[in-house]
Amino acid sequence: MLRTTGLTKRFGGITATDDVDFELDDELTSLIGPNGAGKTTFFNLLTGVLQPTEGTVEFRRNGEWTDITDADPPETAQLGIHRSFQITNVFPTSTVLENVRIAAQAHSDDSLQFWRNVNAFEEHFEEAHAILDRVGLDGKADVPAENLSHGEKRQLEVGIALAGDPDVLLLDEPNAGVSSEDVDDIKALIEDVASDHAVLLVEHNVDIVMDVSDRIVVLNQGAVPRGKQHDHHRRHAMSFLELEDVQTYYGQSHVLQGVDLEVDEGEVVALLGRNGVGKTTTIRSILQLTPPRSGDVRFRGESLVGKDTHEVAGAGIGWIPEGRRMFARLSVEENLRAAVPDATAVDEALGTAYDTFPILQERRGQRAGTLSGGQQQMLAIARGLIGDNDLLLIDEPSEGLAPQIVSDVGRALLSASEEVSILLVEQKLSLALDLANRFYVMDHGTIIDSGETADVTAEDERLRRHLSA
Amino acid sequence: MIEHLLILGDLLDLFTSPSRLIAVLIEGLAKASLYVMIASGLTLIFGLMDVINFAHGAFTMYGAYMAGGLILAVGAAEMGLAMVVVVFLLVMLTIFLVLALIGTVMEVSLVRRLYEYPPIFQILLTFGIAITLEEFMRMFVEFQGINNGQYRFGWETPRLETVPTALRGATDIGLIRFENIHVLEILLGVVTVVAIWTFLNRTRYGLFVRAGVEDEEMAAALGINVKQTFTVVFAIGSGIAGAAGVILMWDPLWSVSVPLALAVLLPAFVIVIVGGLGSFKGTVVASLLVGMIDAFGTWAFQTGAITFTGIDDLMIFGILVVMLILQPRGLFGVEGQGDHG
Repeated sequence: MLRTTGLTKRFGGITATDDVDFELDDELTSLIGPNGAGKTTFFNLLTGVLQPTEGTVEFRRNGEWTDITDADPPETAQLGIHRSFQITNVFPTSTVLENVRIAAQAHSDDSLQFWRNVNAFEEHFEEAHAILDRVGLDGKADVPAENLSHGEKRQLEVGIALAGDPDVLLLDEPNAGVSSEDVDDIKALIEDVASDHAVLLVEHNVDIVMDVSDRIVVLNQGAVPRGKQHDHHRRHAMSFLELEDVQTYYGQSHVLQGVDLEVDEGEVVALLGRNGVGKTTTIRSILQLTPPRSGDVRFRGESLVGKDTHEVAGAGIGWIPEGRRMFARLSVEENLRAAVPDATAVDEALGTAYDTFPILQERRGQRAGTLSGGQQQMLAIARGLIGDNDLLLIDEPSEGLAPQIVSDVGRALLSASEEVSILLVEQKLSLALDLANRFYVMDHGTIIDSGETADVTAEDERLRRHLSA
Repeated sequence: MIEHLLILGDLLDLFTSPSRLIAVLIEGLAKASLYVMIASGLTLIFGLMDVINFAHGAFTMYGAYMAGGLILAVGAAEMGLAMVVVVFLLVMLTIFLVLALIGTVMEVSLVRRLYEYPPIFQILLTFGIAITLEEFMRMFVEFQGINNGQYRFGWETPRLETVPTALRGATDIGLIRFENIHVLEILLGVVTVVAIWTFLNRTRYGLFVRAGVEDEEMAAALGINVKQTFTVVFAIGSGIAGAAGVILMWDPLWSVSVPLALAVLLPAFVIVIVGGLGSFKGTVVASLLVGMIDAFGTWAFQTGAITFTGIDDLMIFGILVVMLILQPRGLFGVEGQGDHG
């Protein structure tokens, strides 16, 4: 419907948009990326507000591609490409109805006959009311736009964009500044609009993006990194890490008998249970060290089953294994170096690790096998942290450590949890509940209970009966 | 009793005569250099991958034959010393690359399929490849009549045809006397050790290899493509095996022949086991140990103190037996390394 080829925009020496090849079909595509990644510039290039330095923008109408690179904003709007604005963009003193009607009128062919009585355009009124109904503002038709809540203004903006009868709708942060109660309304509206329009959405709220998108495109420093334009399956939306009916065997032994588990971005999730119920196997199944025989493991919506372990690691999953698993004959520093995937980032990563754990710097030339248990655990955590990971799978971090050291490890994990999501297997129930937001209880290879850690205590019978022997 | 006294007398003679002692040490060093070249490839492959590559000796033998053919083909026999050494080094590099390629193909197409199976599968596979390669070369050699002196390159013995005159004799510096070829061997041995040590300890890829040796799963979970490091190590190990064949071709005690494959394999295994599985340092030390003992054995034979011709093999395998009794994991071996559980 809309596509760009080699689209590039430079402001002086800064490349805001860098050689972007992009195609929007009749679907909801989300454009995500950090602030300053060039999302708004990209929007401005599509709508003709800015002219690209290089590359083309094409629009498909009636099955034919037309070059619209040089079109200005009114022309792109006339073609059917409409946008909502990040900065609130309504006529404040006009009523809600007026705002929409003006937009509808502006779009119609007779928009220039302004000497006619404005109220004569019955069809525009009907259209405007229909749109207000759709965006959920019909009850506020006669309210001046400036009196709307923030969320309602966003709804109105979408209404204004819809009034132009667009084929393509570009939504620029429709949730910016919206209160949390209104987010669901906006989300429902986006989904509704997407049902009969091609939508390109810029949105910071990852949950919404995961929920509504058919496809997600990542923009970073003005460019779409290779492989970052992937199809997103909406039915698996939401979860960062998701295990679905995972069945894993060791030889003939059926260890995981259908594990369902989720970890959301930013969460710490504890996996509890007695020894031998399959907690470590769950972690090994995620890492594909012991690949599941059936079921699925998805990370950011992408299935990990069948991948090599180093590819799983490359996707951003780190492992802090039971027993630390140092490279005992390698020095502390070599252990750290081996954990950094990007050769050019090694020095920076070492700096981070040494800042976090000064003891490691003191011992950097020492063989890792000669460190104390606590120091080894610090090194194992550091390895996980500097590996450019977004999710850490941590297995029995307090095992075999003195109580004082355990609290050090706990603090290290707590500060780690500010940067990454964590799936934690931990025998010490109090530590696990302190760190985690949610928990799962495993028994006999399946999940038998789950909930919020705020709802339970370490003494709860609900947990105790599944944990003590 | 008399014989024992004679040996004692000779030993006394050796250790009271510095020049003779130095000559034996130099020879020991040269032998050690050859051993370390023979065994390094095996120890890399064995150490990292737990794969016992019985085709290792065949790779060395192919390296020797191909190097002989190449050197004769470019007419090195008529070249001067400097030129022939340059050609020799170029040939060695070529052979390294060719064997590394063969090793890559073998690992990717055959060996890789068997990592998950018990070691007997790999042993049968590499042993089968060894026999196939050896018999194929035997056919080629017989049909071309290479060993009968009728081959078009005329290499009845490539060693004699292509070793430059300057490398054939011996040199006396003061009281010390050494074989010229030993200088080249020691240089190559040192270069081999330094190159492998640098690769393992000073490069990022070497770090990945060592991490993979210690804990394959942990290395993979840190994002290291362990499978790929296996292929690279197998290629390097095979390449070194071939390169070793190039210098063996010129050494008077080895030379080129089909049985070279087996002749190389046995001492290589002894060194890898004595040094400790997976330990490159162990391989270097064991090479020195075996080289020195070999040199002293040769010296004892030359003095006539010992008349048993199998003395070299006896002593080399004697070291193996002693080591297996005293410290089964070798000089620098680590518990569990190379252990298939």
